[in-house]
Amino acid sequence: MNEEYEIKKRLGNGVNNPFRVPENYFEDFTARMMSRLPADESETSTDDSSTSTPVIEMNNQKRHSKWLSWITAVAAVMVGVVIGLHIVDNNQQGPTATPTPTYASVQSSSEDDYEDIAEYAMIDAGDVYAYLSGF
Amino acid sequence: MDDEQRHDMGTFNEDIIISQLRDPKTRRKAFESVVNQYSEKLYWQIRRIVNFHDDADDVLQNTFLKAWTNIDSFRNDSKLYTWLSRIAINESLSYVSKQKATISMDNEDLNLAERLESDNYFDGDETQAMLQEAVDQLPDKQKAVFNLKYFQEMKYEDISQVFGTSVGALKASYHLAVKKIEEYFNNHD
Repeated sequence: MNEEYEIKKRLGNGVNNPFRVPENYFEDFTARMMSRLPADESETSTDDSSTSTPVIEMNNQKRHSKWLSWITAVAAVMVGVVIGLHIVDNNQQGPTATPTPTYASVQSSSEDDYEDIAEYAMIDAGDVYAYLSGF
Repeated sequence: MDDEQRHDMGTFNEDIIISQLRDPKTRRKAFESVVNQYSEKLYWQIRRIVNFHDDADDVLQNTFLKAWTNIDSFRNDSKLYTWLSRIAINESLSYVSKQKATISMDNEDLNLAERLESDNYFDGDETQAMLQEAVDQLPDKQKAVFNLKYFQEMKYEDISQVFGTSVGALKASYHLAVKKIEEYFNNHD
């Protein structure tokens, strides 16, 4: 005898489903469910790479080399300007009037120099961010 | 839906579907086949635990959403349906637990049988409503095992895949569940 015999005897006709669902519930469920699914991240990213991988690689290389050459140019100009300012400063003050630079004076001098360079090169923070983001 | 899609929906080959689920390009379409294939079976599993249609609909959607977002964690060591059943059972029990906490706080009437008998989507008799109430009062594990074994008529071996526990432990849970339900009926005669 099944151990659930007593339960089935009470119910009369064994396992009977007393629950109902709204009309067409199961027929419509799949479409409703699929419309709720979020985009699959790996699906999106893989699709992008599979359709445009060569273009992205070329752009990345181009962007990377462009960015590097720009940074190199700015660094070279900065070094040149700092050395030039230092020589001019030494010539104006003479050999006996050279004070020992403190951290504050060096820092403010560097910041001033950077601002000067940025002004001469006619660039601002927006240009730098645009270069870094590749646009 | 065109003829080809209808044909795809009609023939469900689990091995092919699983390989399509692993490929991001075919994943969404394969998942649609999974939803189409298993939504009804899972719905009845869920409905027997949460009892009301609107709740079952919510839990079924949550089950598929969870499956979709965790599809990469599916391993071939179990069947898709077993994996989905595990999610569905966990979601159902969690849903009921949260709901009971809310109802207790609101001091609402807890008589499930009466609520079922006044529900438009329940056309069972008093005994069937009482059975649902008796099942509802079981501990979570026994409730889930009783549902899968008694209502879904699943084999112990398949249920053991769902819970990751031994057949012996499941038989013990089922036996206890049946005894408690019989006691419930005897106390309400």
